[in-house]
This record gives sequence, structure tokens and C-alpha cells, in this order.
Amino acid sequence: MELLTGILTSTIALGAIYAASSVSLALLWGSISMLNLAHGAMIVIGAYGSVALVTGLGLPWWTGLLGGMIAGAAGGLLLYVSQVRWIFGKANFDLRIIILTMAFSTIVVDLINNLIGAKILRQPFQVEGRFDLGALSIGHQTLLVVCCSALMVLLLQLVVHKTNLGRLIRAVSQDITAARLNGVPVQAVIFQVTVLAGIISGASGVLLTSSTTVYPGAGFDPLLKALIVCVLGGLGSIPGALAASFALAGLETTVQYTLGVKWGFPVSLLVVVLVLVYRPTGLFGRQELERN
Amino acid sequence: MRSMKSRDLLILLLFVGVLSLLPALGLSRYVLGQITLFILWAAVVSQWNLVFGVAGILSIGHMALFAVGGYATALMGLYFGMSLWWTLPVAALAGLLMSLVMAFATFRLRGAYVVVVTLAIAMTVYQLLVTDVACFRQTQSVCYSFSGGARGLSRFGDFGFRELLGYSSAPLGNFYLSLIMLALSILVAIMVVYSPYGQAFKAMRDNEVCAASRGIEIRKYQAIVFAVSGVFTGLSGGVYAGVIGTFGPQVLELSTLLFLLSMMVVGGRGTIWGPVVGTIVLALIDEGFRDLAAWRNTAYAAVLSIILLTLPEGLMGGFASLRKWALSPRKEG
Amino acid sequence: MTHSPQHLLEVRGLTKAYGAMKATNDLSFHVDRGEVLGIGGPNGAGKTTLFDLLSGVTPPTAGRILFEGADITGLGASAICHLGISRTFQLNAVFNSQTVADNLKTCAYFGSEKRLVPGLNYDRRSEIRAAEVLDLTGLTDYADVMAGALPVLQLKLLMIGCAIVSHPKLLLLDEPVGGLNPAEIETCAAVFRQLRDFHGTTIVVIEHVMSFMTAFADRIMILHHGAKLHEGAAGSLADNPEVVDVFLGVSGAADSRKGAQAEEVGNATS
Repeated sequence: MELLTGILTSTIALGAIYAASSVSLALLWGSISMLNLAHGAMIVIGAYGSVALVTGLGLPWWTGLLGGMIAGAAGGLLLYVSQVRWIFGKANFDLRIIILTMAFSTIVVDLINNLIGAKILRQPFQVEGRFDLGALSIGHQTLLVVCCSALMVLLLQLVVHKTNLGRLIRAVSQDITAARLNGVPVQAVIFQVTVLAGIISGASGVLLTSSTTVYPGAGFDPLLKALIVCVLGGLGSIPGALAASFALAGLETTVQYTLGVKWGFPVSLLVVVLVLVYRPTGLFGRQELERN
Repeated sequence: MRSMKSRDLLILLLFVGVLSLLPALGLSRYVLGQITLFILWAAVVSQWNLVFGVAGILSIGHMALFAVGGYATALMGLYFGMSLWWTLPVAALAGLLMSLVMAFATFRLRGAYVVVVTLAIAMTVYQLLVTDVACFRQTQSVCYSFSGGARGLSRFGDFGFRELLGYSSAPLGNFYLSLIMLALSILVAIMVVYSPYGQAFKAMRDNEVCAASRGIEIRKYQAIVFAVSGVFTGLSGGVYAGVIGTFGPQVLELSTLLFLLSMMVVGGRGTIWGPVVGTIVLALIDEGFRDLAAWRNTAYAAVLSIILLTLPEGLMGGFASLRKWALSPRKEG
Repeated sequence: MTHSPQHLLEVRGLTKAYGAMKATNDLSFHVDRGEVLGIGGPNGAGKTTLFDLLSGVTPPTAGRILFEGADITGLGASAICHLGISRTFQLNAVFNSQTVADNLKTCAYFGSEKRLVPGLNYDRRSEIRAAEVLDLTGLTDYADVMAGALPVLQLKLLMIGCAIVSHPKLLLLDEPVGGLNPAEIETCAAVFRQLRDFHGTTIVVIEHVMSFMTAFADRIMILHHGAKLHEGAAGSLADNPEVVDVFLGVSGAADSRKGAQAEEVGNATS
């Protein structure tokens, strides 16, 4: 029984983190077909942003999340200005942006390593204490992370479905030529989507590293996990990313409890690969028949 | 097309010929070692280019093929104490098997999905290696894991050049072995690209549905391109292990991935000589940043970004486009 | 023209459903050896979907396709090519990074037969076939030009060339003359007529240019919402009020009559 509740709480905690960190990927892929491998860099930037605000400037702990969002926004801005803006709509955008964002990520990690140092830091966005209800024991931190993740995802869905920006994003993602012809300021929309994705990535970086530590390479594992989650859910589908987050979290947790920690990722990957054999565009992905 | 193939074979002959004369320049041990290293990287990138550039399959997990080849050699050398020459066929086989794993995993996938799955496979191999801490051998107080874990393997033997050529000339043996590997890798690339196989790969890349409708069995040729590159990349890994003397999970790190990817992209993916040109450029950058080692990765990333933003076909690709434009019949009106 | 006892192509109850939407709805028809079947219909009628089903690009949801009496339902695109069915595409589909000559050789090599173990060089037969098609399509001067750099007419001719270089028994042409001016249409039409008359190729052609289609096709089938709206001789189109209403329009009806008459006159004087 204790094993089961342990797996359940871990699944919810992990799933929430995966969800928070994968929706920004899903957003960018779904709206402008951009696989953002700089997402890991945004996560790290966000984590350090939180540290800067709280540990550096001495602001209260909860501003950490805000710091992450601001830093992430800056990262998204930089990404747009240095890369997306120049090659969006040009030939081979899909492939070029993948490699470019990899390069971006490398430069960011180098900058952090050289300018701030590789010292491992503690994420200040924390609360202490636990809830104990009989067999169930959940840390306050875990609850905080889950709530913040849920809030973030909810806000994103609100933006996408209820705001004007969301409407424009959906127009651009469905048919860019039609959007342009209808007077949608495409570059402006792309700019806002990139910054928005940066904000979400940055915030998720704060949440992620709150239970681990902050160091320059902290973004890579979450990036890999987020990629797998999005691919399983179907690149570009936010509901898909959500479903896949919890499915994968559950699978990974179960494997870790039974076979051992190091088998969590390999087994998850194997399952994802098998799913992709039957559904090559993921569980909820768009099936596109390309004739050219 | 036959004339282009002859031209490239001639260039290969000249290129290898020139390189083989380099040791006569009396280079230092260090420089010779660095050239040897980059010769091996060029061999790997030439094979990766077949999958990524010629066939258009966006696999970025190629280093996993290299890694299994290297580990096959290192492990067999370490645990069976055999001469590393015998391990080379095993390294090639290991590369082949790993490449087929990648091929099957990505058969039905396209584009970004291939990127993610191949990256994840390579990173899984990395993770499994790095988390291998269980004691496999014990010597007195030191515990060794099976694969060497994060530190990797060393002292597993070599190609016997010290015995053959003497201590001071041993690096020459490594150099020429690597040069043979590069020549083989590029030769295979040339033979493949100018054959019906290569045409099938390029057709798949240009327009997959059309290729299938013209009789090209897509999965079969996907498997073939993976397999060919797997054999020669695995072999390169084995040679690398024997030449360098150590082999560890560092070859699977993101920085190594980006380094080699830069060679392919900067040089010009899909072209025969792009990988070689790219390797030379990246080698020069690497040397240039020897003192600023902390910024080396940034240097590669910056050059890569500039090329992708301004000349996405890479140096050789840009050069080829220029030639085509100059030679094409001009359209009137 | 003598017909074999079985139809060359027979389609029974073919359906392709995307969820609740039926792109192809319980379609049944046949094509006989040596004839030219035209397929028309408004946009979204399911014409290209039908070609995708016939050429193995998409598997059907229901129904059967028989070619030379054998069931080919669900076979993949390359297998169908090897059986002798070739197609062209609405959006130009050639291999842009290769020369015209290489395009034709590649299609000849891989399309003519299933290659178990390809060699390291093209065989003599592929080279001969490629040269023949180069001549037939009038592309000899463009042999060494990159396909991606070709003008529109030559691009279309190359695509057609790639489709016929494997000597298919059945050729599916998807809007082959769309976007061409009358002189260019005639150039293509000349190639098609050669295929029909001298090589005995059976042709199914989708077109919107009614004058071309009614002049070229023996029978015409009109599709609407994935189902058959009309099937009959080329001249009979304008006589069906539903076809005029849904598809042709009044001026189009006049065009189709003109085209059918021109073909009759041509046949009478030759």
C-alpha cells in the first residue's frame, strides 16, 4: 500500500513538472513548427534568474518564480532577435532552427560556466515542511510545485483560447499564408510566442530545480524529458503533452521503484519508441500527408 | 555523373597522398596527434553525412554508433587481452547493430521526431554508461565497473605500433592507420553517392512520396544507409579507441555532438567534401581557441550559427551553388 | 480495339474515410486496356485522393482494387509501381537536387523492376529507356540541367517522363496541363497521344481543362463528394444537367461539346 501511494504521489509530482516543462515546447512546435532545443537553456536561465532575484537582491523567496519568468522572457527575446526572426519562412526553417537552438544552448551554458561559475547553487524558491495524512506524506514543496505547474498550464490554455494573442497564434499555426493575407502581423506574433515560450520555460526551470540544484548543465536532462514527452503526446499538441507527461511520469516512477533508478529513462524511451511505431506522430499529433 | 565520380576519386587520391606526406614535415608529437584525431573525426562525419545529408534522415544520434564501436574494441582488449586488430571487425559489427536499432526505431518517423528519438537513444547509451558504478572487478581497494562508468576505459591495449616501429615512431603508425580509415570512409561515401544507392537516398531526401511512387522501397534504403554508415562509423570508433588509448562516455556528450555536427553543417551537408572541409575549419578553430579553452564551445556554436544564418548549404554547398549558377543556361525574359 | 476479357483496372466499393468525412465514397468503376479515362469534378471531389488510393500512397478504409485481375488493395507505393502503375502529381514532383538525366535514369532503374540488390552502376536497359524518354519528352537539351532549375513546362515534362520511363501499363495523370498556355498544353498532349497510340499505355487523367480532357479521353467520370456523379462518353457530359449544374457551368458545357467534336473530326480525317 505504501508503495502504491509512494508511486502515486511521485507520479503526480513528476507529471506536474514534466507538464510544466513540456508545454512551452508544444506551444512553439504547434504554432511555428519550431523544435526549440534551447528550451534547456531557458530552463537554466530561469533557474539562475530566480537565484539572482532572491539570493542576489535579497527579495522574498516567492519572487523567485517571477525572476525565472523575467529571465525566461529575456531568453526568448534573445532567441527571437538572434535566430528566429532571420530565418522564419525561409527554406529548411525546421532543420535550421533545430541546429541553431542547439548552438544557442551551448553558448548560454558556456556563458554561465564562465561568467557565473559552475558552483552548484540552491534554488531559493522553496518552502519547508510536510503534510502527513496517515500513510500519505507529501512535502509542502511538492504541493507548491504541482499547484504552480497547474496554474501555469491553465494560464497558457487561457491565453491560447481566450485572448486575442491566442487567436492570432492559432491563425498562424493553421495557415500562415492565410493569416498574412488577413492582416495578421506574423513577425510580431512569432515574437510574442517566442517570448511567451521563454517565460514558461524559465518558470518551469525554477520549479524543476527547486527539488534538485542549480548548475549550468541543469537544463539538459529536463530538455530531453520534455522532448520525449512532447513526441509521445504528439508534437504541437498541448493536451497531448499533458497526457503524455503523466503517463510517462507514472511509467518512469514505477520502473524506478521496481527495477532501479537508472532504468527509468531507458524503459520510458523504449515504450515511447514502440508507441511511435504504431502512431508515428504521437498519441495526439497532427497526421499530415506531405506530397512534396 | 561518371566523370564527377572519377573527379572525386582523383581528388581523394591526391588528398590522401598529400596527407601521407605530412609527417615528413617533422611535426611535433602534439601536432601529429591532433591531425590524427581530426582525421578520425572527418571519417565519422563523412559517414554521418550519408545519413543526415545525402539521405536526409535527421539522425543526431550518430555518436552512439561511434561509441559502441569504440567500447567494443576497448572492452574486448581489456577483458580478453587480444590484439586490437582482431577487435576491429567486432567494432564494425557493433556499429552495424546499433545503426539497425536506430533504423527500426525511426522507420515510420520523420523530421523532428527522428531528431528527438535518435538524440534520446544516444543519450540513453550515455546515461547507462555513466550510471554504471556497480563493481565488476576488484583489485585490492579499487573497484572497477564493467564499462568504466564516467571515467571510461584505458589500458586496454593498442595496435602494436610501439613494438613494430619503436617508441618514437609509434604515433606514425596511428597516423597512417587513421588515414587509411579516412580514405576508406570517403571512398565508401563516393561509391555510394554515385551509385543507384546514392540516387535512391537523394530521391528519398528530395521527395519521399515521389520516390516511393517511382519504385524506391523507402524502408529498405533507410536501413541500408543506416547500416553502411553504422559499419564504418563503428569501425572508426574502434580505430579511435586503439589510437587514442582511452575511450569514455565523453564521445556522447552534447559538446562532442555539436562539434561534429558543426563540421558537417559548416562544410556542407549532402556534399562529398563538405565533411572534410568542415573538419578542417573546426580543427583550425579548435587550435585557435587552445588558450581560451573555456570559450571553445561558444566558438564552434558561433561559427555554426553564422553559417546557418547566412550560408545554410555550408561552404561546399555554397561553392557548388555558385558553380551551378555560373554554368546553368540563363532563362530569357 | 480489342479488350482482354478482364478489365485492366477494376475498383469495387472503394472508400477512404477521415473520421466522419468520406474523401472517397463507395466508388466503383473500371478501366479497360488501351483506353483513356478522364476524371473531372469540382475541387474537393476526391480526385487526387482516388489517385493516392490507386497508387498506394494511402491505404483505403474499405473496398478493393484489382489490377490485371489481381487484388492490389493495400499494397505500398513502390510495390504498385513495380506492378506497372505510374502516376504524376498535382504539385510538381521531381528530384530537385539531381539533373534531368539522372532523374530519368533513377526512375528507370528503380521503377522497372524490384531491385533486390542494386548494383553500383545503372544497367544498360535503364540508360536506354532514359534516353528514349528524354527524346520523347523533348528534354534532350536539358539533360544536364538541375531539375530544380527547370522552367514550368520542362518540369512537367520531366515529371511525366519519370512516370513513363518504367514502361507502365497504367498511367495516372493528375492535372497534367494545369497552369499551361495552349501551346504548352499541345506539347504535353502530343506526348500523351504518342503514349496512347504507339505504346498502348492505358491512361487515367484528372483535369479541369475541359477542352483538353474531352478531346483526349474516351470516357469521362465526374466525381462529387467522393462519389460518382456521371460516367459516360466524352461528349455526353454537357447532356447531364446535374454535371452542368455542379461542375461545368453553361460556358464549360459549350467547351466540352467543342472538345468532343474536335476529337471526332480528328478521328474522321486521320
